[in-house]
This record gives sequence, structure tokens and C-alpha cells, in this order.
Amino acid sequence: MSADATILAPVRSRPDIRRLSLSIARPLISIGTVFLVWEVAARAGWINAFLFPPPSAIAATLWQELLSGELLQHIGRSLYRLLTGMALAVVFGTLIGIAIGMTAWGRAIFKPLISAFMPVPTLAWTPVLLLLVGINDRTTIIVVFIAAAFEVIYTVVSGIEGMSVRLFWVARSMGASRQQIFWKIILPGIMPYLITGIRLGSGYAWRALIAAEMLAASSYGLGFMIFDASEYMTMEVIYGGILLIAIFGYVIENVIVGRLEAATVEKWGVQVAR
Amino acid sequence: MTPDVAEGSALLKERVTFALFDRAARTVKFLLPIAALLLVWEGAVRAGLAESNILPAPSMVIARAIELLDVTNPAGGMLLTHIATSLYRALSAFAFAVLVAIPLGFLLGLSGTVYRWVSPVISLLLPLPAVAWTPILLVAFGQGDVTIITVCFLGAVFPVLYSTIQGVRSVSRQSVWVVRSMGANFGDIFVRVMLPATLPALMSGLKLGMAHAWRTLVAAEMLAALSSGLGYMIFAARSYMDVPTMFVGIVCLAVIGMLIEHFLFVPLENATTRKWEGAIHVGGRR
Amino acid sequence: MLANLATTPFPRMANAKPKIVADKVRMSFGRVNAIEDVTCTIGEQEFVSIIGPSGCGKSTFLYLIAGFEKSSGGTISVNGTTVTRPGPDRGVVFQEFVLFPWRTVLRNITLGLEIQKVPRREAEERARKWIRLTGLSGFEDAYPATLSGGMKQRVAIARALTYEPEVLLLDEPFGALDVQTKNYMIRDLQNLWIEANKTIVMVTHSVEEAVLMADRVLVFGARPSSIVADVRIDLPHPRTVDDRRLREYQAEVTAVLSAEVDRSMSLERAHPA
Repeated sequence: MSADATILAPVRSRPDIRRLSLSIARPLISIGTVFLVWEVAARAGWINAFLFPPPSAIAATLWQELLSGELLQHIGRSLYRLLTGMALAVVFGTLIGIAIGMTAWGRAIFKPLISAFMPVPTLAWTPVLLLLVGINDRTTIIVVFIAAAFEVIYTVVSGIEGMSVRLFWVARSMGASRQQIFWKIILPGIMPYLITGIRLGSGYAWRALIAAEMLAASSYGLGFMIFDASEYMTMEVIYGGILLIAIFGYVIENVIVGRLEAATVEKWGVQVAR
Repeated sequence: MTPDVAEGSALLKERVTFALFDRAARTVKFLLPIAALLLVWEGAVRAGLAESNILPAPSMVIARAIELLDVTNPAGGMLLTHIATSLYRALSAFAFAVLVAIPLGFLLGLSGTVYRWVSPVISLLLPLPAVAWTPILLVAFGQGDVTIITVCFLGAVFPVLYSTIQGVRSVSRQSVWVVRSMGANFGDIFVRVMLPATLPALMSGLKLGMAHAWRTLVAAEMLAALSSGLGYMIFAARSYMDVPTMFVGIVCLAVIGMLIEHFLFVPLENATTRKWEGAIHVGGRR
Repeated sequence: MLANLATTPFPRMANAKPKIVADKVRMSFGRVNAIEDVTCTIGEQEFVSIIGPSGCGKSTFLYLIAGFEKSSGGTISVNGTTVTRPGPDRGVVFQEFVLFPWRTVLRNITLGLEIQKVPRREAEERARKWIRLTGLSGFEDAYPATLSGGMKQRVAIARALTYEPEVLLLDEPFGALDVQTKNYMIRDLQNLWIEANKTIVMVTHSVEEAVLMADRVLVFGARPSSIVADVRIDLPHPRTVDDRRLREYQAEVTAVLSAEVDRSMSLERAHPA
């Protein structure tokens, strides 16, 4: 759109409403079409109905699992692991990030260690963790922590590096102590970055968690559910699980944390470029 | 040679030596914490503070790596087989992903209407870990290369697709206008503007795609490999409580991941996007 | 308004034969009319500046001449042929330079000839002239990222001139430059224009630029815009900023323009977006 056209844009209010309703309807229509075609193709026998059970059968199975309470157990356990791991990642990631961003010793110690550990695929730790801490929630929680922590550290460091030195000068000239600078300048200053870090980190963490559950969970968790189902070849459960994993992943990353991020961008006018 | 020039060259020499010294100092400073960690670890195991059968000392890991690399040993040379198998799987998955994602990305990026209708489906698939498809693939194809390569393909295809779309959509209208006012036809616009303008985004997409393929590979091999691959090696070693082998695998995964980036993408970037950015970053990267 | 103003609501025809003719051109985006009823004639080898309040659709009008956008009504013709799409008879220079970062200065400049299938040797030969005239000699093998804003704009101008369009369309060409660079560029562009014998249409928001460089200044009104004044600057080229008569012209155009800006502001206050 040309510069002139963008200036004109706000005047067009009515079509905007129509565009908004279309932007809500469009995903429903396009995803709905995929399921509809799938349903018809499976029922008509154009595709292998064992490998691709019709969506209606998947929904029915999910409903049954939900009624039996099994499904809620799987979801609850996955979310518990995600939240615990994320909380650890946010706390330690922020602390390490601040140490790297603000202190010479932090940079000297952590930067090389991070460069050494970051290239290791997160899931490669799973077997080692299984031996070290055993088959329990701690293994999956640590995998979530590893997956999210690097992202949190990275964004916190870039947040601190992006802060103007003048902010510190202003605070120091007002006579602020180190502690006051930390609480009143650094922490609020890195907040938008931290939220972006949490959003990206939670995306990575969710993906890692599902894989870790397939590898390590002895019971419960969505990842365990679909892997376990493959042993019994209950395809409806696998597809239902994949669908739930996708929906939860989307909602966690784009709706819950995404809303938070949008609110901070609106409030502070800080857009974190990643 | 005038005294001025002589002095100048002496100064230059001094600066070059200083730069070399500076670089060496930085390398040492960089390696120091890593070395310290390894030493503490080694010391802790030897002092009996950590159980060596659960957390083996670095020296034990190195010894096992040598053992696994030793071709003369009947059981040796296995590591190379694992590495070769893993590389073959990851690279072929990546190649398939590129072949599918780049044309599809251009199609979706160029057509606003198609993009608007397809993007909801893509954003639903995006947060899904590629590994989640493994159960279905296991039922359909069983364990083996087909399942592993398909999972890695699914891991690599979305970053490449996404970056291609973003790259194509970020091409400014004006740069297309410039060549159209020179009398360019669609082919000219595509080859001379669209393709090169998309390249920087594409490059980061390729890098990300390869990284995803490599990271997904481990999990896929743990779940679906029959006999070889680094992921299989690590997972199999767990059954024998062979922790040194597991660490050898982890180090191999990290190092090969870095080598791929360094030898595949850095030269590619130097030849293209980095050249355009100019010779501003003469000194070290970053 | 002052009575002794040399402005007339109707364009005074230039003596040269008409090159660009706009006839009742209208342009609307959705429900909003950006341009309403613009009629004007631009003569051969004339340098015309278009000036107006921001958002008045002056750039849009330039894009219509270039053939990038389609008008909602009326016609624009160049050389008697109606404009339907961009073509090599009209070269364009944008405020943001729009250079291709993957091409060196020389390759950016020869791009137009390359597209027209001119052999590389010949293309480079023809580019040399404009590289010299735009002061880019010695920078042929540099990539755009290493150049300053002023140099980038020189490349964009040389690129537009090298494939020898008859009309040069400049969209706020100095908007992204600092004052110092801008003054140099204005001086050089005047000389270039004398050398090149092109018809030039330049959109700008600076009265000083417009009056200094152009034979005629078209003042666009607030939207929906049409031409509210057509001022002929009867001074020989090249001009210098300290010319007293130039300042009189400047005051004249500024008066018309500020009246328009006031009107558009009061419109905006009455109908906030």
C-alpha cells in the first residue's frame, strides 16, 4: 500500500469490521474443510480408514476418553510438567540472563558454557536423565526446563543489551542504589523481552515435552498417550492426541502468552524483534 | 623506504601481533569455564563424590570415544557407522523438505488469497512437534528409515516453508515496480527480484530447518531406529547402563550440529547475503 | 488572498508540445477519494514539481503516471498513448532508493538495460556516462549497503537514467537525506536535468526544493485533492538559493500551501479518523 493509502486507511472503518469477522470465519472454514474432506474420503473408502479414521470417529473416541477421566489425567499431567519446567526456566533463565547482561563474571562464566550446551539437541539428554533421576516427572520437567531456559536467557540478555545506558545514568543521578536500579529499572525494562522469551520458550518446551513423554513417561501425559496408543494401534487415540497437542500448543504460545505479549507491546510500545 | 612508511609498517605489524594475541586470549578465556567444569567433574568422580557408573568422568568418556572409533577393534568403528547413518537420514530429510517447502512457500507467498486460506491450517500444524507423528508412522511403516526420515522431514519443512513465505511477502512493492518500469516481464521479476530478495529469509529458514531436522532426528531414532544412528546408540546404551557411550553420543550430536552449520551455511552466507551487507564486519563474527 | 499573485487557477500552457496529459483523473481507495478530477498537461522537457499537504495523493498521482496503480476514472497519457502499465519510457526514483542489495552499484545501474536484453559490454558502456555524471565513479563495484544515503540516491537516479526513459518520475527523492547531502543532490540534479533533456515530474513536500528546481509548481489541495494552483517559475537554470526572486516565488507557493494545510487540518478536526 502506498504511503498515501496508509494515511487514508483509518477512515475505512466499516469494511474493517467485515474484514475482522472474515478473519475469524476464515480459519474455521479452512480447517473445517480439511476435516470435512477427510471425513468424506474416509467414509467413502478413498483413503485407508484404518490409517486415517474419520474425524467423527476421532471425536467420539476423545469424548469417551474424556468421560472416563483418562484424558483429563493426561492433559493435567502434561500441563503440570510444562508449568513446573517453565517456572524453573523463567526463574533461573532470568537470573542467568541478568548475570550475563550486567556482570563481567557472569559473562565470562556462562557465555562459554551456554555456547557449549546449546548445540546439544534437548531430547538427547532424556536417556541420561532417565538414568540420573529415574522414570518420573522430574525427567520430563528437566527436559522442559532445558528447552525453555536458553530462549529465556537469550531474550533477557538482548533486553538488557537493548536498554539505553542513559537509563542507568538517569537513575544513578537520582541517587538510586544497586538494588533500586535492579527493581525499578532492570526488571521492568526486561519485562517485554522476558515475555517474548516465555512465549518462544513455551513453544519449544511444549514440543520437547511431548517427545520426552514419548521417550520417558511411564504413565500419563499426552505424549505418552499417543505413543502408548501406537502399541495397541488405536489410531483414533493417536489422532485425537495429536489434535489436542496442536491445539494446546497453539493456545499456550499464541493465545495465553501471546495476549500477554500484545498487552505489553501496547502498554510500553516495545516490540521485541525476534 | 621513507621513515614514515617504515614506522607505519612497524605499527601495522604490532597491531597484527596484538590482534593475534587478543584473539588467543579471548579463546583461552572462552574455554576456561568449560575446562573448569570438566575438571571439577573429573575430580568429583575420582574423589568418589559422584558415582562413576551413573556420571562417568570426562576421561572415561574420551576413552570410550577412542574405543568406539577404533576400527581394528572388532566391536570398534561402530561410532562412524552411527554417525554416517544419522547424517544420511537428516540430510535426506532436509533435502526433501527443501524441495517441498521452497516451491510451496513461493506459491503461498505470491498469492495472498491462497495464503489467507491455507495459513490457519499451517498455524495449527506449527506448534505440533514433528515427533508427535511418530506413532502414526510407526503403525503405517513400522520402525526404520522411512519413519525416521519422514519425522525429520516434518521437523524441517515448516521452518523452511514459513521463512520462504515471510521472505516472499516482505519483498517491497516498490522493488517490483522499479523493474516493471524497466519493462520487466514476470520471469524477470521472479529471477531478478523475488528470488534474490527472498534469499536472506530463505537462508535463515534453511539453517533453522536443518537444525530442526538434526534435533528431531535424535528423538526419532530413539523411538524408531532398528539398528543404528546416534539416537539409537544413546538409547540402546541406556539398556546396558553404558553411560560413557551416551555422553559420546551427546557430544557427537552437538559437534556435528555445529559442523553442519559451519561448513554448509557459513560459506553459503558468505557467498550471498554477507557479501551484500558489505565488508563492515571484517573482524570476528557477532 | 493577495491580488498580485502570479498564480492562476488554470494552468498556463507551456510552449513545448505536451508530453504527459492527465484528464479528469480520479482515484479512490475503497470509500475514500484520494484524488478528484486532476487535469493538467506537462510539456516536453519540462521540470514540474508537485507539492501538497501530506496524504493529499500526490505520490499516488505519480504512481498513476508511472502505471503502477490504476485510476478509478479519467485518463493519463504519455506521448499520446494512454497509460495502462509501467514501461521503460518512464523511469522512477523513490524516496527509499529501492536499490537491490545483492547487486553492485554497476549491476544496479545496468539492470534496466539487462532486462531489455542489451549485451553486457554495451550496457556497461552506456552506464559509464551516467556513473560519471552522477559522481559515482570509483564506486562501481561497491554493494549498496556500504553507501551513504546520498550515494544510494545517486545510484537510484543513475539507474533510472541509464535505460534512457523519456520521463523521469521522482517521488520525494531527497526526503530521506540530511540537509547537507540534499543541497548537493539538488545542485547536481539541476545540472543533470540540463544534460539529460528529460521531462521530469517530482513530488516533494518542500517548497524550497520545488521552487528551486522546477519550471512549474503544481499545488495539490487537501483530499480529495485536485490542483489548486499552478505556478510558473520564470527563472533561468541553474538557480541558486540566494536569488531574491526565488524567495518571492517561495513565499507565494507557501501562502497557497499553508491555506490548504489549514483547510485539511480543520477538516480532520471536524471528522477525526
